[in-house]
This record gives sequence, structure tokens and C-alpha cells, in this order.
Amino acid sequence: MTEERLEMLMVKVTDDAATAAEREELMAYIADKPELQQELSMHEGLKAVTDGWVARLEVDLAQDRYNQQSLTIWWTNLGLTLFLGGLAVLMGGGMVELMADPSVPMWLKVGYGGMGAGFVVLMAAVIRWRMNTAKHDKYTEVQR
Amino acid sequence: MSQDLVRASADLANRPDGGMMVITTFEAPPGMRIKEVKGLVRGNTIRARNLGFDIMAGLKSLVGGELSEYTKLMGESREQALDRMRAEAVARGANAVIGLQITTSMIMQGSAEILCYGTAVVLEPDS
Repeated sequence: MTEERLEMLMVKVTDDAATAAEREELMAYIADKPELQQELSMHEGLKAVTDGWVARLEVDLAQDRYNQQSLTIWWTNLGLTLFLGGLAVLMGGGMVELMADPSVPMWLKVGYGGMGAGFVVLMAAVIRWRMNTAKHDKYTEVQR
Repeated sequence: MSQDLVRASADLANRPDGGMMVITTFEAPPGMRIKEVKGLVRGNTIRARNLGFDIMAGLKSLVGGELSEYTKLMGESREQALDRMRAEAVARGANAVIGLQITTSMIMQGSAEILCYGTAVVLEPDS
């Protein structure tokens, strides 16, 4: 048997793509060659491991399918809008109450007012930065 | 990233070979030998997802499973750091980076820092 044919048969048998005749031919050839039997066994063991990887990657396909469902997107966006909207109302409302309360000392109003206004200005700055850089950020396409 | 590296990155993408560069953890790939060493090259980045994704990931951590928001974050960081390293290698006139190492560290909660480094070299076929 030539080296090329032996290599081809080894690959086909390892990949479980060999015909019965090809498998028989290979087994007959390596019957008295323990080093080739060991090599075939090593290839089959390696394939079993890598096949296991492929099977485990099914979870990625399931994840992609789930993420693309419109119900998933709608549900998540609704939850986030309610959560962040509520947070904004609590923070904004709290600030208005604080400013309107005559019992709160002026230094506290100035301090909290400055902090709140600073937060809004900085938030606007980072949103502007993100909007400017996001269109050049190709890395957001990477999924895993 | 400096303007030189941005230009190198653009040159890399526009090369006829599509910007192919050998990046390997080997000392030198089989069949190749090192013709010239161009020195250490590295790329790093720190990225974060937005508040919405952090909230989702925090909730998911209560029930277990993969935090795909952060898997994506690590993937983005890895690719960006590798691109920066590759651009630096091109700027130095290398056609390969050997002995690649990738490390991570914690700078800020909810963010991913990736640093990758290797040795930029010029490889040629081993005759």
C-alpha cells in the first residue's frame, strides 16, 4: 500500500466516511503493525474529543435563536425602559422635592443641584462621545 | 492608537493578501524561519457594555448559565487588542508575530481588559 493511500484510508476511517471494503483493507494492512494501530486509535480518540466540542457548541445556536426572537427583544426593552424610566423619575423627582423643600439648607440645595447638573452634563458628554465613535467601532460585530 | 498605527492598520486591510499576517504561539511556524526580529509588539484595550446589558447580566447571574453579554464583551476586547498588536507589527515592517501571549486583568468592575503581546518578526520560507 502506498503512503498516500494509507493516509487517505486512515483519514476516511477516522472520519467514519470509509466504505466497508476500505475499512477492511486498512484493518488488514495494519493488523500486524502495532504503531499504525496506535496511530489510528489516537486519531479516533482525538475525533471523539473534537466531536464533543461541536455538540457543545449547539448551545451557541440556541442562544442566537433566542436572542433574535422579537419577543426576547421586546421583553428585554420593555423591562429596561420601565427600570431606567423609574430610576430617572425617582432621581429627578427626589431632586425637585429637595429643591422645593424650604426646610433644606441652601448649601445642601446648591451642592445637590450642582452634582445633579454635573451628572447630566457629563452624561450628555459621554453619550455624544459614544455616538461619534460607535459608527467606527467594528468590534461590536463580534459575538463571542 | 497613534496616527501611524491607524495608517498601518488601513494599509494592512488594503493589502492584496487581505491583511493576512502569521500570528502564532509557536516560536516559528513549521517550514518558516526567522529572518529578522522587529521587537516586542502589543495591543491592549478596556471595554465595557452599557448599563442595560450590565443589569441583564446581573440578573442572569442569579439563575446561572452563560453571561453572553460578557462573553461578547471579552470577544470584542480580544479582537481589538489583537488588531492593535497586528497594526504595530505592520508599522514595524514585520510579516508575523510569534510567541503570542494574551492576558487579562481587572481594572474596573463590569469591564474587560485584554493585553496581547508577542515578538514581531520577518519570516521567510525555510529552504
